[in-house]
Amino acid sequence: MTQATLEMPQELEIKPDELRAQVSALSRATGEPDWLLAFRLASLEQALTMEWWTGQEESWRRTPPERMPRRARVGRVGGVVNGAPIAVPPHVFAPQAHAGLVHQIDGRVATTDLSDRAASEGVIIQPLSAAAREHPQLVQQWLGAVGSPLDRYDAFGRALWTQGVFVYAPRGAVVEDSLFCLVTQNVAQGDHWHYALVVAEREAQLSLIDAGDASDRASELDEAPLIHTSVELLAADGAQLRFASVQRWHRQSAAISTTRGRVGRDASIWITTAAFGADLDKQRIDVDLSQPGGSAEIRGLFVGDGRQQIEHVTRQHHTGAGANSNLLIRGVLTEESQAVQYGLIRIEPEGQQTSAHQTMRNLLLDDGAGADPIPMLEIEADDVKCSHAAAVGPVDPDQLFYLQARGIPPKIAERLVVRGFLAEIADAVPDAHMREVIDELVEGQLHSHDEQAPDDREGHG
Amino acid sequence: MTTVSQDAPVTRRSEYEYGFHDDVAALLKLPKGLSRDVVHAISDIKEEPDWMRQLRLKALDHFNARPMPEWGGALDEIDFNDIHYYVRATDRDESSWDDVPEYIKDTYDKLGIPEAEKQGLLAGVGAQYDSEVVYHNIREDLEEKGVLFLGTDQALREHPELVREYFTTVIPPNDNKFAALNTAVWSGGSFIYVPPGVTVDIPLQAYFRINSEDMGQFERTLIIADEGSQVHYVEGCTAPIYSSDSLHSAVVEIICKRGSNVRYTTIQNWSNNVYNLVTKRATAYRDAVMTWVDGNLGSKLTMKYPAVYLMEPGAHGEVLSIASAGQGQHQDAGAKIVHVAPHTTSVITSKSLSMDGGRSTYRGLLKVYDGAEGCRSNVRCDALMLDEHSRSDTYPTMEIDEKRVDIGHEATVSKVGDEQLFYLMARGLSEQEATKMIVNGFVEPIIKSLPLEYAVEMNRLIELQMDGAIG
Amino acid sequence: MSFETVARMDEIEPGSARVVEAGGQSIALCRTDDGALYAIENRCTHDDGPLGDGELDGDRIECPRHGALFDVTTGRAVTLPAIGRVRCFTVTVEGDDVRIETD
Repeated sequence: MTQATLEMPQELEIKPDELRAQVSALSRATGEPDWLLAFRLASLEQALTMEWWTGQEESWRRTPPERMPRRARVGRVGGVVNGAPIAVPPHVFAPQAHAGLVHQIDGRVATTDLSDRAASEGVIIQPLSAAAREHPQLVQQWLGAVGSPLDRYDAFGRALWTQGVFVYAPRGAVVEDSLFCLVTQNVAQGDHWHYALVVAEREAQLSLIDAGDASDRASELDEAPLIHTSVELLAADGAQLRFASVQRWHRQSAAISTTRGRVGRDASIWITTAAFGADLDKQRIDVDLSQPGGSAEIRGLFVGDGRQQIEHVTRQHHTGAGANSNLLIRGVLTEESQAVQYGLIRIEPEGQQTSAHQTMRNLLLDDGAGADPIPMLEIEADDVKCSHAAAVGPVDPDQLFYLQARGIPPKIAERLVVRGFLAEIADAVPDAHMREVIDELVEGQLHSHDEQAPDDREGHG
Repeated sequence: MTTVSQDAPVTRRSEYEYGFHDDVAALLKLPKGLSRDVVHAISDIKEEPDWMRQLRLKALDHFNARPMPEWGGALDEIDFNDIHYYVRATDRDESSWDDVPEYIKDTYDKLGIPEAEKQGLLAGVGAQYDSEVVYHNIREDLEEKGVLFLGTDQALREHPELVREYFTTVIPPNDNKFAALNTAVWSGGSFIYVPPGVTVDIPLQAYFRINSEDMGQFERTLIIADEGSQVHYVEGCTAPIYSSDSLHSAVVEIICKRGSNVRYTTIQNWSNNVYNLVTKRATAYRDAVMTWVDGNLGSKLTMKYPAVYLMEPGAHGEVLSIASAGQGQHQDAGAKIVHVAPHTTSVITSKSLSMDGGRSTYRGLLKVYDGAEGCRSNVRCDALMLDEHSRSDTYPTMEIDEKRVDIGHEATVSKVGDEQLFYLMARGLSEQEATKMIVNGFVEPIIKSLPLEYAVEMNRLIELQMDGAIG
Repeated sequence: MSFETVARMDEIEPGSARVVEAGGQSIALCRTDDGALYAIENRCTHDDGPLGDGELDGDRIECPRHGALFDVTTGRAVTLPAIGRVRCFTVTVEGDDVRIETD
């Protein structure tokens, strides 16, 4: 990454009237119904009453303030640059097979598709503005249903989005292939606000992959962008919702995402994330379990290099009895990359008969790398089984020894162990091709580590 | 305000806002509230060297400048102006038996403490039975070996240079708000110096000291274990200690030089009106071993996180802690281990109980500096919930900046297992007996590291607390 | 290697410290009671506290965040919670100008 450091303007002054006008213009440009504009504006007003983070909050204490801007401005919608039509670069996560997809580039819809099979099941995957026009009742029913915004970014996310998507599986629908929501960060200057509303109705089964990529042309940017993603996952009773988020944003972006889930009775939700790009990637994952039989499985994978910082802020919030949740984060850190994990299991007094667990494992491959795992438990019910575990260390020397004893060179042995370590997370991604892409990206990130001077890693146990 | 004249020399003449002048040095109790005058008065009473006075005054400024911590327990009810910052300990037993809350008397009765000793407990452990005789013998033995075991006030008078060399080097006055408060108004506490190669065979206990003035709300303890020495210090008392003043804020600094071995055991059982806000920190040099054994049973709110800084290779730090929170209590306790040097090791074992609406919190920090390769650390926290009204939190923090380390943390929260209960009840135990037995087993790993007499009483106290909760 | 003028002699009283910039780095410039000048990195090794904003007492400066003391003549941390040294810089006086050498 030998690129000049881009400017990252901090704490831009917020001009409420300007924002209101811009949001209205944005909404009108895509022909949104009045109620959707009203939703945006109400969210905007909510955001305006909220404060930015100060760094005093526990989950922000380790975030370098100069690397995560406190700003909210409408992203410019790309389309035509200098009179030339926009180029559509291949997306690194472009699927081989899919049940439906929406591909947006710099806030402009490039492709939409839906398989006959999915269509016959009544499945919808559409840009949010279009869905609001064509399925107003459905969208209105679920918009904001996940609850109040988590914080100011999340609130702005509901107001300012230029890349929205609506994904819906009706009652009992079963879609086997995954649906894809692809986003490409191309040439548009400015910030990006994504918003995904994902609904699996009763007994429906749905899997969605949300994939962000930066084209090579993103290197022409002259300012580091802020990329915010709000995802709202609603799994009604008995539904099974699989969601995977992978990103390879421009390496100087500040990425922040808010993924929230609500899990109905006997419903299951799987959230899997894989982070590769951005300078700082801060993922917030918040799942509310209020119904018996509900279950949430959250998995995070990352490989950091350079000076990347990768943060996870998660909450497994048990507000009702009889649900289960599990969190598993595995990260590999090379060069001077840093990881931070705040994982909270919160059991309210009503959350009896709960089982909730979390595990964070960080492999440090280079001297400059570091990890701060902070697993937390707040338990107000007694009939529970809760645990957390965290570990930080190098590649297990016993495993290395075992492989080397079988004639495998040290470098390759290390690579095998690292890939095995990450496989448990990657295997949860519901698409075989996507798993391969993730594997390749892992390889790519590890490559920079290999180029370093050989160290004396084997000598230590 | 109580003022009692004594023959002590007057060391300082100045104006005090409370209007007392020449008899300052003789006061047994300063009026409530905190000010520069109060700090001056404490320093006068103790006839301290000027550097200590200046240190106190500076610490007071730090205390005033620092905001109240916003994490941990609820501290907003502490009224700093409603506290006596200096009470000569001999004056403490003025709190009459009638003032003692009923539940403490009950506990004394249940523990079978004789009437006369109950009164003694009120005055602080300094008035422990026969302690003079016991102490006399121990003192001779220690003196022979060159061990210093004094009240910190006395040490400051008799060994000022030794105190000055180490005082505030482990916990500076501005470390945190309550360390600043303690530095400003400290009184009492123990000073221990163990010469190179000396092993102190018996646990040193605060109540062996003859001078009862060393028991206080703001005691300051300093332990220096010279190279290759060994010492075990025990503070506190299993029987509940009633205090009418609601704030206890101690500072304990320990220096474990090369090859030394220090164990510091605390059993805290303050009455349920006390805020117990304590800073404890040790440094361990090459091949030294520092162990904190920390038991928290009493107080309204305890915030205490004994720390070990592992400064040189081979150092080992260990924290064994047990906390039990009952009705109206919040035990916010934990441990901090900082791996400064390579090839250092640490173990944290924490067991907590929450019952009867109580709240137990484990809060910890494990830090490994860049370059501290070959460190190993294992953290284990287990919490047991005894009923549905209580709360348990676990907030461990790990900051790992070195790759060649082996760091593991595990925590669990659970209730008493139905299967275990069933198994025991099938063998004829009542549910209550079975629960007690399971709890005993749960805390066993910590209890067994306590001196025997403490272990026995600790178990009985936890059972008493459970009787209140489940009985 | 370069020298940068950061202050005038009369701007810094004996027994005081101030924060200056040289070579793109923040530096705590300290003048002890005897008039000697010392320059150390303006960043506590414990929690990045700004040492130059702390109180200078003799040849020790106190971090305003958590009270760690540093010896300004050597950069050594004298008390916890800081461990490890801060960098020291060479200070020269030319006429009335206080200059700091950075690389």
